[in-house]
Amino acid sequence: MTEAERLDAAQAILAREGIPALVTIAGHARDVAAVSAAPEHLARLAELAPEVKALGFRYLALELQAGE
Amino acid sequence: MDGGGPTPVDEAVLARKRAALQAILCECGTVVVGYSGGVDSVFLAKAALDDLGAGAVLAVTGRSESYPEVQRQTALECVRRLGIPHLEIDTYEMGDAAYLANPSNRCYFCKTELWDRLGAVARERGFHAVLDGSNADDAGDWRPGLRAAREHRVRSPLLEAGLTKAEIRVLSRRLGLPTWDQPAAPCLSSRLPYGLPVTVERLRQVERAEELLRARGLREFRVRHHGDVARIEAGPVETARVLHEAGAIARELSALGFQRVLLDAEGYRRGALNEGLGLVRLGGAA
Repeated sequence: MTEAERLDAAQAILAREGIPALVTIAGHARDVAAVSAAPEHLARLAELAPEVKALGFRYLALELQAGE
Repeated sequence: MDGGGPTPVDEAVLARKRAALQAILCECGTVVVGYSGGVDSVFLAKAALDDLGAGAVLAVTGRSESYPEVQRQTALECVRRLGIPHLEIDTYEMGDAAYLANPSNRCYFCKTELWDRLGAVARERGFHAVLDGSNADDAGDWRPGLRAAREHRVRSPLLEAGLTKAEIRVLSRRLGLPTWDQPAAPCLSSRLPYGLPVTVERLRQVERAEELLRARGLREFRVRHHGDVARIEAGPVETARVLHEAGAIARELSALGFQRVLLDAEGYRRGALNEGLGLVRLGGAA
């Protein structure tokens, strides 16, 4: 699975769950799925973490915006 | 720890294990204790003091760039309050290229350096044994540092006596040790994923970031360093606080040189960087 395919698949999982979000790849090892989404979705993201990580990510994390 | 009392334990089992610990310490006679100021080493040093007397115990702290200053202050405060003979020495794992490469057995190289130096202290001062604070819970974990301890004939009395972390917390509380409910506090290099080289600058970034979060009231958490990314793992209470103060936290950590600041969805878990360890190529020995 390419990086782009992993991202698309992760994005699709969140869309399926009705979570408006943007997923990008982060970290020196390119193994963190970084999600830009509203903070109230964090608990649901935790539940979805195993499914997203199964795409080849090691971590699923919420982006903290400095402007918030 | 949840801020209440420690986990209930079987009193008969606990008494038996404490007696076993005393027997091991007495068998050692005079001891140098590898002393970081964490829950285990503070309890071990205090037990050795109680069982052997002050003349038979020397707690030794290895000081280096990977040792958090906040932990050092706890260590110093504990020996001062408890009257435990103490020595600080410098260790030089940051001069070892194998350590700096940060393989998944990084701890082996650090502990080799530590036990080399503590062994020398023991020999020079006439102590019979060098002890570490490994406990029974550590036996099944990924602990390449334990191999270095075995190679240096370092004994692990808490592990040998079968004392678990929960039991050590109970005994620590009964002794009035301030560390009884202290979160686990491994070295700063443990915040860097295997394969990301250890540098003084990265260690300082992590230390400063954790200081900032501690100042905001966070207690159970880690800042993991992923190059230009800081990934915060926080306990349930801390997660709510991070979300509430997300903007300020992101700004503060960005000012330390992190381009992105992330909050892990699954929260704090001990040994999180060991997850998926099979994917990491093991380097060198151990």
